[in-house]
Amino acid sequence: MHDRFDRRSFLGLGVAGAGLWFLGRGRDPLLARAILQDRDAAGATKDRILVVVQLSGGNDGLNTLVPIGDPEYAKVRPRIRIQPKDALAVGEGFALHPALKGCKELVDGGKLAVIRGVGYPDPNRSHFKSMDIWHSADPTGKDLRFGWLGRALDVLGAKDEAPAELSINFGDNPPLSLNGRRCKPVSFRDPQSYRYVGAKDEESAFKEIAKKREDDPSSVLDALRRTAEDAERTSADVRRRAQEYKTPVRYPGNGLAPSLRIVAGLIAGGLPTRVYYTYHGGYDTHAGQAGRQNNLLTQLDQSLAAFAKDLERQQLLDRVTVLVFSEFGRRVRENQSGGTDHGTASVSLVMGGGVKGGLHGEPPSLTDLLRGGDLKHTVDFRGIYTELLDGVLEVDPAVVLGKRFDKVGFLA
Amino acid sequence: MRILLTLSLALALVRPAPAGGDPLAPKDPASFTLEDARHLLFRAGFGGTPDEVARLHRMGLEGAVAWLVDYEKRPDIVGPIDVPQAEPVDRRAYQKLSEDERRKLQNERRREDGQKFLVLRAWWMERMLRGLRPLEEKMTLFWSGHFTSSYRDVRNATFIWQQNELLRRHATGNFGELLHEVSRDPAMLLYLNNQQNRRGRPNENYAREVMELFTLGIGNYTEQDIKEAARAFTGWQVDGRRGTFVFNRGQHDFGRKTFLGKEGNLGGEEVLDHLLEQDACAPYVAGKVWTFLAAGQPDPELRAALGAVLAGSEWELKPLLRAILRSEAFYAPGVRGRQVKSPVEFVVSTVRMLGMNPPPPVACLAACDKLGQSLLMPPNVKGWEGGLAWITTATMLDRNNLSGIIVKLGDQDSTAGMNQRQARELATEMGMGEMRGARGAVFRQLGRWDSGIDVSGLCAATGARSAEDLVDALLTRMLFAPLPEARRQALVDYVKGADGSTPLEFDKLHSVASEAKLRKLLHLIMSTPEFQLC
Repeated sequence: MHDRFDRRSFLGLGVAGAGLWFLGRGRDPLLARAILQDRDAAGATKDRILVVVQLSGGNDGLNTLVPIGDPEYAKVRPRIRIQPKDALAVGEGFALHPALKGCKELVDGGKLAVIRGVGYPDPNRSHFKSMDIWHSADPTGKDLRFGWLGRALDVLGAKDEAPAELSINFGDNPPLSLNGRRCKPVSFRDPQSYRYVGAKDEESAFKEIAKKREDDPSSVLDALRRTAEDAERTSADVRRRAQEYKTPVRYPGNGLAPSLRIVAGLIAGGLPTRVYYTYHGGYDTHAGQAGRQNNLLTQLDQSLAAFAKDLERQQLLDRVTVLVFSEFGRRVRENQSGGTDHGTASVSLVMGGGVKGGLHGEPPSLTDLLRGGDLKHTVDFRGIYTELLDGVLEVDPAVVLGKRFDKVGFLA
Repeated sequence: MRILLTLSLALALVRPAPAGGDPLAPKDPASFTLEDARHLLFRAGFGGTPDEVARLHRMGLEGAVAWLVDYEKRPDIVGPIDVPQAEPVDRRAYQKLSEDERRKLQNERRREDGQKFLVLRAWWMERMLRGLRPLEEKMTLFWSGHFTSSYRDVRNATFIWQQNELLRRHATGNFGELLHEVSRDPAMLLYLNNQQNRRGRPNENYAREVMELFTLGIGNYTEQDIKEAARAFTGWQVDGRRGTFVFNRGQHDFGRKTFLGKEGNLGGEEVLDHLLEQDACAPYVAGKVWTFLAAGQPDPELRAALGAVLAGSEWELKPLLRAILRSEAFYAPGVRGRQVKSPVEFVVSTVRMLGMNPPPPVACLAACDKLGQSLLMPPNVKGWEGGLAWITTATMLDRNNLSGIIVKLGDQDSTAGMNQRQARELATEMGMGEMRGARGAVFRQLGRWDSGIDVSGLCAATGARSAEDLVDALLTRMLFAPLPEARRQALVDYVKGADGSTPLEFDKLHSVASEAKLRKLLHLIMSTPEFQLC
């Protein structure tokens, strides 16, 4: 009820904290952050950062990490199988899709973990429901008020005065996963148009009308007012950092890359953001999968490779962990349209400096299947979350997920 | 009317009345205020000027609802368009083309289709901006977010146009007929992959979504029901050359199926009829209509009552719409001023509320795209999420900036503190010049656009002689949610010049300087969080 007040409360901060709160919310957020944040000698923050890449539509895990050593694979995928000679071997009996050349290098360099058999009990094959389940971390998909990252950021935000841009989403609609009780993401598609345009003499009045002073019993109005205030406060900050960013690394011009380039700029610019959320869509390959998935994975691969290179040259890769996931994989047996229908378990990727490269998770069987012909998952995605919450965001996973799940072991 | 009476009697008999009585109890017509009329016009339509609200109010509650619902009596002033199918490619000539020539031909055809699609979208936008049948367009918009198909996947402007006309024809017609026709609609069959749904090789996409999103909602069927329904829809295809529905007997699975407890050699028609027989169907559909027109998720009692009206009228939608718009619940404080305007509602209602000459429809479309709602291109099969999902820090700023363009740009005297060059730059940033096939055209049209509004006159008509009175009068006209005192004070300070700006001179209200100041005041009012609600 008094969410907003809680967020601003002085508990645990003491008198100095109260002063900082005042600076943080009212005057100069940058100054407040500089004092509050854990900084090393060079002045850069040491907080670890999570970047989430959501592959929307249900990426076919079996053709992403191909079980080339399993004779069953060729039987279930007569038309759309990846040929062993084209695939990029990454371990005994397994090879990456030929489009994933950069990923192959990252695996070899110990920077990319490929996790097999990722799913959850009683899988749902609706895009929306399954995405909701991943976002809320509730396999029943019943409680959809808050997302796992939103809950985690609520914890971080309660510790000291949280900046408005604790999480940034690159899209128009903020995802459920970033929705916390108190913490809401900053959202935009393009940082340069992220500003208010008014005449000079309107500016002071605009600042006043954007300021949120009151708690409203209507949650809709409350959320609107908070968003208006956050927008006014964060826009200059974000634009300047994105604009000033220069990099010699060439990012491809399509798909995911433009947003990852901006993420690199904002991280390099020292923004206090802990979670960045990006999207790559189009994986719903009911028909004509071979060409489409090849295009998509090429874009994904080049984007991730450029991002890793860009961060590495600035010694930032050790602080950054990237999670790549999709709401489900696809049916084991291909359909007659040269595609695959909605399935269950799939492959997730985790990239970063602190990652143990290579294959993780038990490979799911291609013969011992769920009714309907889908994979039985071997890794619960909440185990991945547990590991990321512990190792990257440093928030107690039990608080966010209800309990700790078995870690996969992809963090070094 | 009789149906409704019988129904409410039946309801009272079938289940004990909830504590609050009939959740759809009609509002006392004697209590229909000017504010109620304004609420009604903005929800069942796209709003209007104070004069239009007053006219609706004078009709009384019954008359106002009838005016909105029985719109067929009024002329369709925008009129129809024709989006003809492209000439089919001559297969033999095509065979002879080189790879390069084929690609060129395909690109050319795609570009032409994109042009047609833009014309179609602009036509729909114009219907909403200018039309005399607001509920027709409002419900068409509702159905396009319910029975979704996106041009991005369908890639055929003619099919999308046909579907849009289908949704309009049945906008307030019969849901059962609508469901049957949508299931044979070429755009839908392509969008949800039924073209690939063949005997022995089922594609489940349509079968799943028809239950999950179009009729029952999740939890009212099993995965097995989806598989069985998919078999029933095998062979429901589009004849690519004629562009019409075709039942391909050779691809249809005539085998035995068990679907939601019903057994037999079921075809698609039987599956659809059986869906309409499910108890879950009417409350699901009627509840969605409520959420769209009123606000929030209806509670179980209200949902049941809404469903009973729809099911009780043999799926006719008008009785449901009348029951909603006449109900006490529709005018309750928890409903009024609590709905976040969708981008289309935001743009269209702003234009209609100010009574201005509409901006070029292509520019309005581009603005809606930027705010996250691309007409005829919903983000996914679930349609637009709606509500607070429209609002992010970015779209909040975009909405503010768009308001600035609307009140400042269409002023041919360039008096409003934003000159043509600045407005043009902002319009570019808003993506207004970047639509496919529309580059240049948008700017030329925007440059010539004269909004025709006279803000000084509008303010003079309020009779206000003080900053406080003027701000209050404008807030009453522009907002549905109350503005907290501190924000109101900031606006008053702006009028008085207490914040360092040049004060407004009430004696020279019609001067060039006053007009500019007042337009900026309007822009500030439209930049409040409260302006996002209706």
